Amino acid sequence: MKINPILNKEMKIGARSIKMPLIVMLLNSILAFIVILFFYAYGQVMTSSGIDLYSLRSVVRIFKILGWVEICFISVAVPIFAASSISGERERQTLDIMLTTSAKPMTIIVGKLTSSVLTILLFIVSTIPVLSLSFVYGGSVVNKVFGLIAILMVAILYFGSIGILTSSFCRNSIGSIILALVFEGLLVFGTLVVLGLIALVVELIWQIKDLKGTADLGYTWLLLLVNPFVTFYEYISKATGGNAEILREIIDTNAPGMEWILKNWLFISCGVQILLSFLNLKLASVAIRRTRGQKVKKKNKKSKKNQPVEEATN
Amino acid sequence: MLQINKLCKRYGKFQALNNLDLSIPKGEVFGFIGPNGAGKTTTMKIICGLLSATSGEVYVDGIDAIKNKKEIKRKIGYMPDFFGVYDNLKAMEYMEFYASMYGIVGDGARKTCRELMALVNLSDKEDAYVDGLSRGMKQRLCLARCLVHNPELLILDEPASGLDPRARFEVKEILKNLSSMKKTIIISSHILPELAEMCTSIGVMERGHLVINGSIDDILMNAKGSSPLHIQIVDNQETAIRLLKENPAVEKLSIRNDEIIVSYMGTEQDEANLLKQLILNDVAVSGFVREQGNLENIFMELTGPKQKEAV
Ligand SMILES: Nc1ncnc2c1ncn2[C@@H]1O[C@H](COP(=O)(O)OP(=O)(O)O)[C@@H](O)[C@H]1O
Ligand SMILES: [Mg+2]
Repeated sequence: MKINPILNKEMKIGARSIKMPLIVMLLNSILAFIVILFFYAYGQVMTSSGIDLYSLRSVVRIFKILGWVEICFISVAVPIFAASSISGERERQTLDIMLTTSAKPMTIIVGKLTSSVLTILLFIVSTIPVLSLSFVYGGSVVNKVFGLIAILMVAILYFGSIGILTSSFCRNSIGSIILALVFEGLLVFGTLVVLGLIALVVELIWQIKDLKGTADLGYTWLLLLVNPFVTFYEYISKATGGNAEILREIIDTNAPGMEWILKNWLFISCGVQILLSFLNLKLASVAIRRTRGQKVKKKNKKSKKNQPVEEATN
Repeated sequence: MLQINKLCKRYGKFQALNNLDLSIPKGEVFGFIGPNGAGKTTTMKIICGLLSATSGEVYVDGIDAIKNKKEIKRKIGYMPDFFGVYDNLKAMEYMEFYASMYGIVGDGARKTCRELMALVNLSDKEDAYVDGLSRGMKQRLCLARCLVHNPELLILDEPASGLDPRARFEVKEILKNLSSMKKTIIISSHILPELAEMCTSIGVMERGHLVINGSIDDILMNAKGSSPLHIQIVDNQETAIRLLKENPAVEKLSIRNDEIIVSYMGTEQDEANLLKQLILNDVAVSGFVREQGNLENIFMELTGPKQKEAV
């Protein structure tokens, strides 16, 4: 099997950089600190109240918190790694050289993506021992921890593809990272805001028309399929709350088919997000090839900025 | 090997290349000279497919370079006007990385990279980190890098700029070596003497098109033809002036003390005849010499402010 040349290079460089062990240490320290703090607080409450908090249901809450810390870490770390990858080559002026070789743009894109994704994955995998701590008092560790990692992997791919896309047309890394964060913000918070606004409007119409019952947002809820935090929320609630499908409880709609979608939300939203990731990568491989000089680049950047909005409203 | 027809490139309103025509035969070492901003880098990037042309045609080895970017990539080795290096990568790994970008991997790649490192005299630096190398070494490493897929056409953008004389000399030696390997090489520079010794032909670029283009010898000959004749006369200057004024090849003459400076448009044989005539007419000639023709003068003349309206 042939290893992607860029991945190979990035791994060599990455292995020599001090950044990686530092981040592994920092991330694990934060998580371990949270776990210790939690157990300590539980101990205090237990001695003062006499309630047994070390029951399975309570301790599993730590897992929830650790999960959220991890996805928040991902949503910051991925842009930093992925969104600076291609623009970093551009800043170092090595991108031009890469583009004169016979490597396909897609090879460059995939190499850059896999190297940033694998780096982040390494960080996540390094936290498995700490994650497993939340199950010291029992519970199906393997299923839940690996389920979490699978969900996080989709998020890494999704965020990573966004970072690769912004870095394929931004001239500097800082701009690219900021743009990727804005892009993510639109997916995570933007979708919620848009949904909230739509809900207000629908509610208003409902009232004017004097219809009975509560407003039904129908298929508008599907907007949340592109939101990786909603997917994560669904998973983590399922994993820690006795397999209840939280979205089915929250989302109230009678639109046909929605029942089925809500039931399979996890798989469908992951599928949608993976699909969008590939779309982002495809766009990136086109953007990287653009050869019209820098002045034109600036203009294109503006039109590309609309990308997240378009995607979110699709 | 390279054929450029009516190439134009506009950056917004700015016309960087203006109907550039250029033809470089196989095996030539072509010096691409022009002041900063003349459009050399732009031309080179278009040939490599890094920039798209506004209009015009580029053929590399008979293949349309604008339509078949993929095909020509294997034929071209491009060295930009900066070193593209990475921290935390060793020289040999750097070479192998670029080899792998061309799909060359494994033992074959290692062997090729070793040979190229030897070619550029960096065999002892294989395990050195790239960012720790000196400027000259980095430049040679980059040169080795763009040879990794054995291209037929080398495009080197200002390979000697910023190097000390010793490092420049080394680069020059390597280029000589490469040209003996029958590679076609295009080198750009804004400094003429840098190129004069290593090129077989040159093109002078000014504001987006070539103002002069030809073999070094032709151009030097031209330069020689246009530079004045200095004649030192000890005695009988009047006769000399009369004779010179009668001579059809003499265009202009000026007198400075005992020296006559003549714009003379004749062959070497004519020069000899002129000298003979002067002596036979009892002119005491103590010096008779052509001013050294040199590319620098032509360059300055062609790209100087006076010439600009004509361009
Ligand atoms: N990306 C660009 N956008 C706008 N103008 C450019 C760009 N690149 C080069 N130019 C302009 O084109 C002209 C030619 O540049 P260049 O080809 O780099 O010249 P040279 O390499 O001969 O010094 C210069 O005047 C430069 O300012
Ligand atoms: Mg230049």
